[in-house]
Order: sequence, then structure tokens, then C-alpha cells
Amino acid sequence: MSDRVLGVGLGYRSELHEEILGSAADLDFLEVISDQFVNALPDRWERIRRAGSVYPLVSHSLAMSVGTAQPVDPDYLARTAAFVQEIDPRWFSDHLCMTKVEEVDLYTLNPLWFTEEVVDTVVANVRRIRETVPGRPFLLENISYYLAFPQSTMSESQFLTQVLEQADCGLLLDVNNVFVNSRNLDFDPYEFLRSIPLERVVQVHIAGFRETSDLLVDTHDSPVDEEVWQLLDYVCRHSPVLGVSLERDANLPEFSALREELGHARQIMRRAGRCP
Amino acid sequence: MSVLQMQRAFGRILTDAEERREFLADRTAYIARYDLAGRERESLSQLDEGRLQQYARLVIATRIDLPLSVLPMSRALLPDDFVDRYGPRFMREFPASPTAEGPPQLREVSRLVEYLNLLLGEGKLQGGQLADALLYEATAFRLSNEPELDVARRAFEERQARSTGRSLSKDSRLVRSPGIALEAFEGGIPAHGTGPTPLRGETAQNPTRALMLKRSGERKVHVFALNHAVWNFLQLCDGHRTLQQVARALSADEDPANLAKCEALARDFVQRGVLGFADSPPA
Repeated sequence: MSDRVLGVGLGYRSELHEEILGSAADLDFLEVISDQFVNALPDRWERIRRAGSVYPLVSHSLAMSVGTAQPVDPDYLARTAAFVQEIDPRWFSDHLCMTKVEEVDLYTLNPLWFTEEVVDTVVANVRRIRETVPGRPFLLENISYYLAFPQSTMSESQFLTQVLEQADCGLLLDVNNVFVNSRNLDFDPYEFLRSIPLERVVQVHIAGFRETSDLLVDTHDSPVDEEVWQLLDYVCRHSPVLGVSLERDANLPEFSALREELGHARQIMRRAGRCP
Repeated sequence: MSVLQMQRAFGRILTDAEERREFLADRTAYIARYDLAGRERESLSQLDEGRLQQYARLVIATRIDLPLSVLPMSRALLPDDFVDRYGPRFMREFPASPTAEGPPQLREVSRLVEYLNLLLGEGKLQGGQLADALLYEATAFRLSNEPELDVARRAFEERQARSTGRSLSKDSRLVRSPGIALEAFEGGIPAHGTGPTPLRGETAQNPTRALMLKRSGERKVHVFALNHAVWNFLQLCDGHRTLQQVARALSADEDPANLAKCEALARDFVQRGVLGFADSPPA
């Protein structure tokens, strides 16, 4: 993969289209959710083509369900491949999770059972994805989860490491997810980061969460938390990250507030020597 | 293959409140329904009940949030405890299916709208503004996102462009664009955020009649309030009647509407892309 740094990016949201097009001074790339376009009408495609003429794009998917113990849905994969072909992103990605199984659509990113058998499942699915979308780097993202399967044979970090190494793919490291999981499942986030192959980090996600009475929920509807900024700082210093992107899906603030967060991410990347 | 069985069982337990109840009542009996290896059985049987219930609620909220995100006015009118009271039934009676046809968001919006209308029909949700907001938002979403409708609208607009300069006569047959909807609102649509100007609803006997129009290449759905005569006029433009027949039908039960008035109205609507010439009556 080219090691050219992309810089600081934002998840594309159609509500922010005009502000995004006018923000070339603050933004280096856009992350586009493929699921929002694969079935969309032509006018929506036109908008993303326009955005792509201003910024480099990366593609992010939600529902390949690489952890389901059956082949990735070929129709979904074909549509994603067509999208990737059309927008020509630097890389494309999805989550290390299960979103559907046979007749049941789970509608969320669900945790996997951390076992060798499931590692094999994921590796086989990543191979299928690569065969369908050749010549383009594919990244897997760590998820936030709220329920762990008992009787796993390894920890999450061991599972993630085995998958990345056996599938030989890059990591889209969501530091907000690491933080949310560390609080909900009671572990040290830095110890987690030290135990995964940070040299495989290509992109980092930052986002906000919501605190309920007994859980932190990864909602992407609030500003990035101070502790998440600190995790980003750690990752930028210890990995060859090429791009950091902000995810904001709901409760959208004034665009100036997003600009401030992007500026903060840029400072962190610069301090770590990851951004000019 | 048994990991797949384990994932199937987990999917059912997570998304269906009745299955979850059966599982929690007798885990061993429930798990025996699936062909699982020893450690897979142990894993499922040791799932933390509190976390499972908490997570199941989060899954319901996530699923309902997807369609509600494009129905903001309706969402604002739903009771605060909607997810807890009515979410489990939605999950059971309208199960999400990864193999169902159509774009996921469109499918989920139409399923939730169907469910909300069912609850309105059963009197479990208060009608009035909610019924109208739902009708308005669901129609606007359909006009903006349904692929088949978009194809039909584009074909209509292309035909329309080819007939530029065509003169209107009393023998012209007119047909409505597939990109429009004619809807009657009884309770009124409240203003919401940057949404549409509120339509002042009245009653079932005297509803506000509206024309909703989406043109290709535009994001916005235009909404126009119509008087009774114009509403009837548009209803009669069905591709079968000639303009003269429409005028006659209107003058029979309304204020005398002469052919000249109908011609002026038709010309205006053809220019706005609401009506087009019908070369042959629709099937």
C-alpha cells in the first residue's frame, strides 16, 4: 500500500454536503459509507462524485458481516465492489463483526466468539472480498460491543491480531470503540493497544459516545471525549497511521465545532510527525 | 457448521423477545433445538442475562432509529417509551431480513410506517397530527428514494421534454406525473426544524389537500396546498379523459368550471411538470 499520508478526514454526511465542499482548508479526505449509496438514486451519486472531485475518498461498509460462518453475501459484495470501482477510494473497509446470519438481520455490529474457528471464518471471508475487489487495500475495524461470548479461547486483542496477520490486512482502529469497551468490559485501553499489531494501523476513527446509567454507548452524536483524544495521541505516536477521520452521525453541531475537532486531530497528528 | 448454528441461535435470542424469554426460562431446552458442539452450548448457556437484556434493548432502539431518522416529525410525536412498549412487537411481527428485496432503508421505512399505521388503527397511538406527519414524511421519502418511481419519473420527464411546443386542445388527454402524490391531511402537519411549512389541517370532513412534487435531480419535495376544485381537476387527469371531459365532469358537481379555465390550469401544470400529455390511455 502507498504510505502517502492522507491527513485528517470526516465521515461524509449528505446534510453537510455544502459545508464539506467549502472546507478544503480544514479537510484532507472524506470517508464515504458505501451502504448509503449502493442503492441510491442517481442524484445522490452525483453529489458523491462532486465531493470526490474535491477530496480523496475512502470507502467504509457496514454489512459484509465477515464474522458470520458463511460466505459474504455475493450480491452485497458485488454492489460494494461496483461502488469502490466507481469512486476509486485509497482503501475500503468494514467491521470485524457479525451483522446478519441466514434469515436474521441483526441491524447492529455484533461481537464475535473469539476462537480459532471464527478466525478461520473471517480469514476466508476476507479472501473472498479481496478476490471480488482486487488491487485495493482492505481494512478491518474493531467494534464497540456490549456483550461478550463466554468460553472464548482467546482475548479480543489476540483474536484481532490473529485475524489481521492471517488475513494480511490493515487495521482501521476506532479509538472511541477501544475506550467504550474498556469502560464497559473493564480493561486498560493502553494495555489493549500495546497488545495489538499497531504497525498495521492505516486509519483511525474518532467519535463521541453517550453515557447511560450503566453503559457507554458508541453513538457518534457528541464531541470526542478527552480520554479518546489521549488514545489518539498514543496511537499516532506508535503506528504508521495514514488518516484520522471523525465520525459524527447525529445531533450535528455547527460545522465550526466539527472544524475545531478536525483541527485538534491535525495537531495531534503533527505532534506525532504523522502529518505535514 | 455448528458455529453458524450458534450464531443463528444468538441472532434469534437477541432479536425476538419471545425466543429470548424461552431461552432464559430454560436455557438447556432452548439450546437443544440447535445442533451445537459442547463448548458452543456452554458459551450460550453462560450468556449474562442482564447484559443480554440490555443489549437486546439497544438492538431494538438501533433498528427503529434507522427509519425514524428520516421521519423526524413523526418521531417527535411518538411517546417517549415507544421503543420499550412497542419495539419488541415490531421486531417479532416485522422481522428484519437480510435477504428481503429492496434497499434496506427504504424497506425499513416502509415496514415501520406499516407498523405505526397498524398501531394507529388499533388506537394504541394517538392519531391526528401523528397520522398526518407519518403520511407526509413517508410520502416524501417514497417520492425521493424509490428506484422504480425514479425510473418512471425520468421516463415521464423525457416524454414531456419531447412534447415541448405541443399545443393543448380540448381533445388532449392528460396524465399525472409519477413524481407527484395527492394527499389529504386531516390533523395538520406541525413545523419541525428546517422541515416544510406547516399545513394547517382541519378535519376529516374538511382536510387540507396537498400536491407533493419531486422532480428528477432535485433533492427537495415541493408541497402545494390545493383548493377543492384543483384537487378534483388533478384527480380527473387520469390519462383516459380528454380535457373537455374533465371540464364537463367538474362543472357537473362544482362551481361552473368552463373549458377555458381548465385549459389555463392544465397549461400551468404541464409547465410545472405535474401533468403530461398521454399519447395512449394507461393500462
